Amino acid sequence: MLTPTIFLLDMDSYFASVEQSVNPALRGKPVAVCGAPAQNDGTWKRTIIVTASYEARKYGIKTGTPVYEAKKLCPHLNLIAGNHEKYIDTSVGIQKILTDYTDQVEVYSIDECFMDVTDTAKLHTGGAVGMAKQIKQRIREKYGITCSIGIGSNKVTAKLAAKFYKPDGLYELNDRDIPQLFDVLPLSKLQGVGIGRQLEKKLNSLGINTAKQLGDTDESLLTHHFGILGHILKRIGQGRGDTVVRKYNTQTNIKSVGHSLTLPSDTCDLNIVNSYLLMLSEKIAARLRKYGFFGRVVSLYIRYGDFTGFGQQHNTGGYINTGHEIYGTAQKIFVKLLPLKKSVRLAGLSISSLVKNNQTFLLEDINKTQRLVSAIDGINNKYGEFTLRPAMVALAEKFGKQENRCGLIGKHIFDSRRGK
Amino acid sequence: MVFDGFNIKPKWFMLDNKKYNVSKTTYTWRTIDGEAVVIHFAVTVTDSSTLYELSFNQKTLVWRLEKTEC
Repeated sequence: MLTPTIFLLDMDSYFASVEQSVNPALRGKPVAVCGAPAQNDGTWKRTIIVTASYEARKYGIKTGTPVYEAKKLCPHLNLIAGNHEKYIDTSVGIQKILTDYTDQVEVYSIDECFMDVTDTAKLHTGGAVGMAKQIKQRIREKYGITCSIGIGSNKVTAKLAAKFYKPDGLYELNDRDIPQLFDVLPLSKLQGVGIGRQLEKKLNSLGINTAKQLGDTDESLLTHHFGILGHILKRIGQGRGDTVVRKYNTQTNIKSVGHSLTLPSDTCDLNIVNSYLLMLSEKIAARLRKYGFFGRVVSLYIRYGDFTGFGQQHNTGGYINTGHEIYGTAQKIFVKLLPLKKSVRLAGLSISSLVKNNQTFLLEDINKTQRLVSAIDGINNKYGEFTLRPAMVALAEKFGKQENRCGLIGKHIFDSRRGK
Repeated sequence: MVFDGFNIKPKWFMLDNKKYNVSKTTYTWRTIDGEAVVIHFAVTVTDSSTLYELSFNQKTLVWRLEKTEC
């Protein structure tokens, strides 16, 4: 059996690189993409850095740095409000380039893809490395941005290899080199491969400091401390990992549908908070119906201005898929917070315990509701999201919708873009 | 605009009665607005360092100047 050849393609400082390509005057300069545009007074109070260019990283600016702190670290920093549509479209374009080489392209995140080229690399001039070089060149020529590609025999080693020489790197990590490499590889180098900072600290406290030590640790000790994760950690420490790369057209396995919004300013006004909850309900209900699902468990999360929060779930007992029903369930949770003691900063809503919509409704009113939402969906799909919406949502829109906030982008977004 | 293979490229646009010749399209991306596909172009113009964003709605065939960045 052939040893698998897995690529991990990782875009370099993705959002910032795209912006530097859009505006060549920014090339070579410190650039940071943040979640929301500047406020009316020109300040960037309620947002963080989503991506920093390599030039900005030299000043200590990284993902999650508050904008005011980033400005202190680098006063001449070029701040750009992210435009997620631009990044999604570029990502889909890059994915299409990758499918010229194999149909096994698994979107791991907006800026990372796994590829299984075991069968196709041998047909390519220059083999796997030649193929990777060509992919990098095509992306550079088409979008003016760079990526790093790691080649390994599984997803763990491919991801590790991609991290070695960034930006614009290409590295093949052979299985035979792993023992020597892992012998001295600190756990910090496994960040992004499955070991975060907190986990690293816990492992360090157990006397595990290198990848080899992790691989050599008794699995029962790891499972004792980390549960089922212990088995995975042991495999990571041995340079072993998953080799299954999903086909590109495989639909993401959806377990829940949710959305959250940071309000333009903190508020105690119940009408405004309720208006946002309805907006979120309509948004996730439309997505739920688009995927053909009904859901049963609604989760609400409220973050206050002081960054404390409250979250709770409610099982509806039946399956629902309309904004009105989701909003009604969210209200059952939200009333527990009343009267509000603190101002609300963020509201998040999701629905889970999903089932496919294959039911025939016997009750006339349910049929009526489904016909109504289907008609609304038809109009909104034709003319754009929220063309038809409940009047109460207007209150949130007036307060400030912040539709263009740019943050984490779920993989589900690619499902609807693949065919377009 | 001109056709470049299967793609379109903006050549010039008018703003406040002044004609701006596009010197370079630096980036192109698409957005979806209902059934319409909207193509966005980041462009620079001759004799200026300003960056302009133009958009073209493929359904309505309407061009728009979305924003400018100095």
